[in-house]
Amino acid sequence: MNSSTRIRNCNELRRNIPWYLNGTLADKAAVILREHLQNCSDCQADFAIHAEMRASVLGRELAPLKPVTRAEDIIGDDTHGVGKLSGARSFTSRRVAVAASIAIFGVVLIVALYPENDADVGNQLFQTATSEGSTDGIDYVLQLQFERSVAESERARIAAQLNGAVKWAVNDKGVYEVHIKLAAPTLQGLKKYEEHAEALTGVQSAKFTALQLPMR
Amino acid sequence: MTANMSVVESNKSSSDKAAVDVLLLQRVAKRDRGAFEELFEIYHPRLFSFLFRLTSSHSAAEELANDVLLTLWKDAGRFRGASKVSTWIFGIAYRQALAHLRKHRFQARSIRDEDAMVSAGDARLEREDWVRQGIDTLPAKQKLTVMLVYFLGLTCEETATASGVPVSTVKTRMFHARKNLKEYLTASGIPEDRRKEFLNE
Repeated sequence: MNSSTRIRNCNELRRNIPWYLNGTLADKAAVILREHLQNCSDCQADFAIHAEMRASVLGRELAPLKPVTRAEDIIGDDTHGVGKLSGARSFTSRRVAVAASIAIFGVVLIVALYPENDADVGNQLFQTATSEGSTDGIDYVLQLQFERSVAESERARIAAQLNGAVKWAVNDKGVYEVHIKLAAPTLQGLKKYEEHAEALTGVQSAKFTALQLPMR
Repeated sequence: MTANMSVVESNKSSSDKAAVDVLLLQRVAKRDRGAFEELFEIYHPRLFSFLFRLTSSHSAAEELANDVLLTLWKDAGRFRGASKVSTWIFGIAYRQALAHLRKHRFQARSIRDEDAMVSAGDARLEREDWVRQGIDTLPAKQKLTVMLVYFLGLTCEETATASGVPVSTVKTRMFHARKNLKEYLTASGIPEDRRKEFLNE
């Protein structure tokens, strides 16, 4: 085999590497590629990068929040083509607005029921929310911003270790949204929780959002 | 023999699922809400995971997944059976995601700022972080193609159908994705010993 033929073979064969890796390449082509890879260092280098890509794509994932949508939310009552909603986006916005309204009402109610006489509640919440297993609590969303020097793996570790944290995701702006179970804290208690979270190394800011969605 | 039998069973199972999907989609075209709910149960989790991985945003992933399924509800009658239902659905997701990625261009971060990663001590996780950042810097079509192939595990032909391009274009996109990733890793300040490990130099 002359060198030009070998190069042409290489270029053709290496383009099958992605499907060899994902297991969908036809058996015959897979055998040919496997044999070629054993003797071609250039293709081995390509294979290594593709393998890294695949491992990264399939690798660990920050625990995403579970989607809240149900099938009927998308199509509504409509049976004639266009869904009840003009678009799924408007559904999400409306749902968020309703949830936020309920949350604000809930916070006002809590403040009314519990006067601000518990300056240490936040500290207690922060220390004991998980150990008490407050799984009956409301799901609060804490938005965490990290200092730039903090690596993704460290961010995930910090988010996971927040007391009461049950799941989290990263939004469009790179802010971690951590769902936290807390059993009827006061507004001051929530503020104290924020202060304790902000005191953690690497955390730039920690703010609860008004949004509280029921766990599904 | 056992292995061959399991392959046959797997293929049979796969074709059975594909046939069920077609029947469900035909019922959806006739406004059968129960059929839509069944397709929703099958595809919503997979779509959401795919789109979450692509956008790193819970809200964006959910909105895009909802948009895809709303399109399915409205356009089920347009499915002509030229591909598997799953490929058709992921084709809708491809177009929705491409529009999203173009609108919200990823802001690449410098690896040099991520010194803490080195101290994390877990070489595998560190490597994943670096490669993931590299994938995020790829042009939208290349990134989407990588996700279709590696996250969803589509065949070359299915990837081409979902993307609406010829097979040769899909292979070219994967070729350039690999080339661009290698250039990114080379230029991004990875320590020499780690770069050699990544790039197999």
